[in-house]
Amino acid sequence: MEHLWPVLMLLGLMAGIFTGYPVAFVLAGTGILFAFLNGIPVIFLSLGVGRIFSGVLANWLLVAIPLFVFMGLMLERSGIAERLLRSLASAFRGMSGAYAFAVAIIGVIMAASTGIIGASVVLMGMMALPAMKENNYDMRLASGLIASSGTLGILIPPSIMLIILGDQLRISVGDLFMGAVVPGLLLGTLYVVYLIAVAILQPHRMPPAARTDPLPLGAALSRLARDLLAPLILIFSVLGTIVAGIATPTESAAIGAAGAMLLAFSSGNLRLKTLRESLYETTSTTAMIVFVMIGASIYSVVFRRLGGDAMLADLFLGEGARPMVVMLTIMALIFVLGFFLEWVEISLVVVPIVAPILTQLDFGMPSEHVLIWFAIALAVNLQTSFLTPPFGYALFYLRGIAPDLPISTIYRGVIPFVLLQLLALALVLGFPGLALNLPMSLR
Amino acid sequence: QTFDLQSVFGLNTPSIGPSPKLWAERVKLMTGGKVTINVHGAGDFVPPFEVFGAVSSGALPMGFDWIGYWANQIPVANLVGSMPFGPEPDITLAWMFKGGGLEIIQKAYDPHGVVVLPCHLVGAEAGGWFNKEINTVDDLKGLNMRIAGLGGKTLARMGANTQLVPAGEIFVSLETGRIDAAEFSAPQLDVGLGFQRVTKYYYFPGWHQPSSWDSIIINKAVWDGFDSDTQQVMREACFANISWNLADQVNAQAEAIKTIRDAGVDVRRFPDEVLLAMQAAAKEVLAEEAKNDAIFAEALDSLTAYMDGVGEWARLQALPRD
Amino acid sequence: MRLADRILDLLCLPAKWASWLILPLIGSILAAIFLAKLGQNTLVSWSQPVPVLGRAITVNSLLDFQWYVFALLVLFGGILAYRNDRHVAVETVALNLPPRGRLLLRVLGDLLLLTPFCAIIAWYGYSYAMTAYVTGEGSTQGGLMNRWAIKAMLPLAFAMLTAAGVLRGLAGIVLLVRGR
Ligand code: NA
Ligand code: NA
Repeated sequence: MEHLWPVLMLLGLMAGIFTGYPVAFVLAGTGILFAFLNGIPVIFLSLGVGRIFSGVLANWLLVAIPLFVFMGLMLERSGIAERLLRSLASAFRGMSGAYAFAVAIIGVIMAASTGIIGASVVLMGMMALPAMKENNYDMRLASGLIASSGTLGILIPPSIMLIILGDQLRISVGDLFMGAVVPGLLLGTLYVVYLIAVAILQPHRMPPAARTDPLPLGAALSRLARDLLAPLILIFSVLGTIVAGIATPTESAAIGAAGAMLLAFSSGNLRLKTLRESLYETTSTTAMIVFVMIGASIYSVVFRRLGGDAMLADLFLGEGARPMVVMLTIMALIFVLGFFLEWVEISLVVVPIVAPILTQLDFGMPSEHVLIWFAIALAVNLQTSFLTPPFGYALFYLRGIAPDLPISTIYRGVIPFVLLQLLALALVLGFPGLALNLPMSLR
Repeated sequence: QTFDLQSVFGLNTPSIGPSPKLWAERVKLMTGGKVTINVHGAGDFVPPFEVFGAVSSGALPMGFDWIGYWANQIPVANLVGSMPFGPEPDITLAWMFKGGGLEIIQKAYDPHGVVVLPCHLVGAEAGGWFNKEINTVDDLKGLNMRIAGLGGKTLARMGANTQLVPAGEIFVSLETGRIDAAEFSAPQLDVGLGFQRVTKYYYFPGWHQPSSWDSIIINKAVWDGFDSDTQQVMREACFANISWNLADQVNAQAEAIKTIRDAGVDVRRFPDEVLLAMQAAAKEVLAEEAKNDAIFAEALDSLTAYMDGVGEWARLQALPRD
Repeated sequence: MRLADRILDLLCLPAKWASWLILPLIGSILAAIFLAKLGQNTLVSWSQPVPVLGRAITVNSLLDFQWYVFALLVLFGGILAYRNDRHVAVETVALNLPPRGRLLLRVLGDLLLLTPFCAIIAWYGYSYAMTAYVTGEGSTQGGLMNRWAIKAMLPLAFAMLTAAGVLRGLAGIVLLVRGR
């Protein structure tokens, strides 16, 4: 059988991943094991050193990763989001679902000011979940909403995922940032529309808050405006400096990190101990993400040497497959993989293999546009993987901070939101303009 | 016998992309199918900048490169890859194979156990994409420009802020004004990157690189394993490659320039005054580099002497053209 | 076992030191943006070359410094993340196993997956750094010189990770044999 070894290698990877051993080392170890089994000379593995050094460590684009992680941690410590949630909820008070709408809106704002997701989910889980419980919200709705709006951060720029995809696909990160804006806002809008429908049709699932806030509405609104100021400044300092040509996407990450640190410092919440812990945490998280890249670079060089790439190209490009069918097959495959794997693994293992296949297909647009469109659709798809059981990071974060919330409630709660995600994905796939119009018009 | 070769370029890049594949086909043909070389694109096994190390260690038997990529390890590679105000293609060709150039360069490769076969001769590139007009030498001061190699050092000496923007960020940096100018390649390649959509001027001549070499590099032990006929075939295949690629370039450049002009870009030349100042600065940069490396100095002396020697011939033969 | 834990903690120290470099990293990017706005390439320069810096601090020295810091964070942070079980892992299936089974899988992973990989990278990384040292590799753009120094961190960090893997693997075997 021609493709025996690549197939065995894929099966070996799957088996290894499910042992629960760190994915980075499963990838690298499987690669090395299969190189030995095939009698590939050991010197071939020395290519791994160059791949790690020049491909990963000396890759200036990736410098943004620790910066966005640090920025997210600083934002969490600064108390900005916490104050914003309170003033939003108090501005909506009396309405059915005040907290729910506040969470959706904060989700979008946090998303536009950080590049990772952990912070948003944890933050909203800790602040909004208890309040929603107190107000007799349907906890399935509450947990699904918090998990899904918390994951918007990975789609709406700035985003670590878009930086890594840009690097993998060799397309402009600036284009990807701009391309993700409309789909990200579209998703936020879908969440809000869904909440409005629930508020009208099943208001008992999110009853209005008791009127305990003594603040008159006018005062509540002015407080809201004040609390909105800091996040808006931060959003502008990151996205604005890119659009204005002051900084590249990578450099804007440093501006955001400095800004978030300044905000945390001025809020008085930043002590030496918190700073130290945040720095250690940033280092761990950065290494955790980048080590998967390192592992994948070892796995893929052996996989290629064994003819794995050619096998997959044959599989997808088999006799006259229609381009859109190939695209949908790839998206479905990635959706299914998303049940078990995290975005890092999918972006680093699957993307390099499928991207060359896609560029060979004729979608009636330049291949660079195909890649941007594909990357944005992929980003929506991967955002969904945070939400799909059994392995969804957002669900784990939420479970971690709300130990008395049954996991089954969370699993069932995300279902409507996963469906909304799929709707957004279908829209991006059906109307490439959603992803392409903004970056192209800015050119 | 089957060997893997990795290029530092994507195989679909115009002109330089298919070059190693054409060479491999010629080798296969001329050896009567005895030697098969599988050609891989940039990044398939190692990132472009690691190809030299991989061939040197024997992890990869062969590579295809732009020689200038190895300037970090082999200083003379900077000179052969891109010499500001260096020789035109016909002169560099003569110097390389008849003027003793290859012998000098191979000396620099010897300690690394690598054999170099110059295999693709690139003519002049463009001077670069600009969003600022360059009318006087002062216009270069404080210019934020993406340009590599000795040309970059020359401009830095003239007060420009030269920097290495990663290839993936050039477009967005030009678009947003983070940089004012960028040098990338010849029109044939540049046009595919779409810079014409975000810049106002496309300047000529490519003073920083009137000609440059791409080469096949082969691990010494692998090379020594070939009989002398096969080695000769590999060299001859390179000569065929060079004439093929020289024939392929000029027409493609003209077409690309038309596309660029149609996109609304002003295609123009640097003023002579600016070019003369650049030449003076380049001389200083070259002299400084020669101080740091003996083989660089030897190659620079040899090449300069060669250019001076044949220079009169070119001047005698120059026709008035309009 | 206590000794093993102590050694693992020691191996994490460089990551903690490197973490503080995030602050100058942010500072250096802000400085580079500022210099670019001013149209300046050189921050300061002097006549005699010094180690690492060469003859000047330029925008390109700052760019090099930035990825050097990133490389240190990743290389040594990888050990910290290993020590604290922070690496990405898919534990859904493994969580249903008895503790002994999970420990056995971990020992196998440590000794058959992590250790060979890290040892190979450390081994070839050494000659990789040596080549850079012998050829005096440095930036050709007026960035940082003595590139071997950063390249040497790669075999160093991977050798440390190999040691950590062997150590934790052996400690795991001891636990398995003792039957706890
Ligand atoms: Na974001
Ligand atoms: Na999932």
